[in-house]
Amino acid sequence: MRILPVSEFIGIVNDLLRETLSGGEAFAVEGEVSNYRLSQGQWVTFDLKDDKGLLNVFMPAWNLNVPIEEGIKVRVYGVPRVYPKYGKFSLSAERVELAGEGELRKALLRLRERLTQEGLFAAARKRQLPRFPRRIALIASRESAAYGDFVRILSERWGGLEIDLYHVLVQGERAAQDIVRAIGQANQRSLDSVRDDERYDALVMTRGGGSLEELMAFNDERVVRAIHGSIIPTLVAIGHERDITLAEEAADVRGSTPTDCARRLVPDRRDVLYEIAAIVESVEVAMDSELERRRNVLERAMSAPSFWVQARTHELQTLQRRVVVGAEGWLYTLKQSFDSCLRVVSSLDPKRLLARGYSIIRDSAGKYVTSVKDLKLGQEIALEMKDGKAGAEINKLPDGALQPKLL
Amino acid sequence: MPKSPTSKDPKSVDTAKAFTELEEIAVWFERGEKDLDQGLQKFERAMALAEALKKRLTEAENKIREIKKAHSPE
Repeated sequence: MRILPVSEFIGIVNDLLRETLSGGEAFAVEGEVSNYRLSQGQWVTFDLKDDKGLLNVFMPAWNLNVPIEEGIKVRVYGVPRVYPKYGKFSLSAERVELAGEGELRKALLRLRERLTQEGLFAAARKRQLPRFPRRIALIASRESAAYGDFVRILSERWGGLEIDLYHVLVQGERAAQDIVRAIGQANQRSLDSVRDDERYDALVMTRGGGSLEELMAFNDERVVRAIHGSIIPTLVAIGHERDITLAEEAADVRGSTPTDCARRLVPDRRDVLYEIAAIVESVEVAMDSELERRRNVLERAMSAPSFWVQARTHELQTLQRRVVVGAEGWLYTLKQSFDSCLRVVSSLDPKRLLARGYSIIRDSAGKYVTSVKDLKLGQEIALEMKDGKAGAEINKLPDGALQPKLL
Repeated sequence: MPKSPTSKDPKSVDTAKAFTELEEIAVWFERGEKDLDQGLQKFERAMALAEALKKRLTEAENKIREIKKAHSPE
């Protein structure tokens, strides 16, 4: 009979487990995932169960390269042990596999749901890529056709773009980590740069097509989160025929193929040149019409003084003529009134009366006598007739006149 | 009393005033005043004004031509 302290007992049990299982055939435990938890971003725990049993699984997060979701069937490779501190029996997993491709699809679907609910794919948060990028971070495999195509189309289309290639594995177990590392590096580089033109205008990730397994890295939750968290706007193009990868859904812009990616990133230089030419032309036209307008104003101003002088000269001539005509008219009118006055006056001329046979009578003093009352008998008067003068003496006056008579 | 329009210095004629005076004289004649002496005086004044104005305008025209020539790109 041995008396064992607890921790020693547990140690024996663990040794027993290890010895028994490591000697025999390699094995994996298959079951359905439940209670999946990620703690502190570092440790993964979940329960693996079938209809009769439940086993706790525990592993470091960086070891997990398959999407684990609630209800997914997986195969776990690891070492069973009892954790001394909590007395818990766990399978310490070294590797986890999905139990068949069906499970993979299921898992991805669930993952997608979960992430959508979190809002990682929300359209509202998608950023626009700059129209004329100067510098980009390219995450791709330098051996891939996708990389070659992408770079070739870029230089055909635009040229003059600085590309920093962050070479990564694009499939396999280590791909997801590699990609996450690259995204982190690119972001850090952008953050650290002091000058505007050293920052990345876009982060491009691309690879060619492949099977679902081959593209697993681009459906990895870690990669999706890294893309989501990128401060650099992201453009992801995973060229294949079927579904869109989660990485593409999380990106700001999605390209359908590496070539399409290049087209979305840079404009075609011919289009831009054409646009510039059109702008230049419209500016030229605007300039020309403005110059024309000003030239007209100037010409009008230049010829205005001459016009003014001509107008004044014309005015002067008109005015002068008006004065002359006015004066002539005035004189004529004056003459007319003078003439009519003259006629009136002449018609009153006493000499006219003489011509008609009348005579003018004057007394000895030369005063005109116009009434018989002014006459005295025996008075001497002078008569003027049209052809001469004569003297006469009054010898008769009308009756009734008070006259002294010589008796 | 306006300066004599026949004075040697043509600049003494204010063209605007001269035009106005000329017009006033035309109006006076059109009114048919009876004063013969005044009429003769005014007529003489009008012709002198017109002469002076003609001179100024010709000078102005020549001056404009000169200035244009001086600034033209020959």
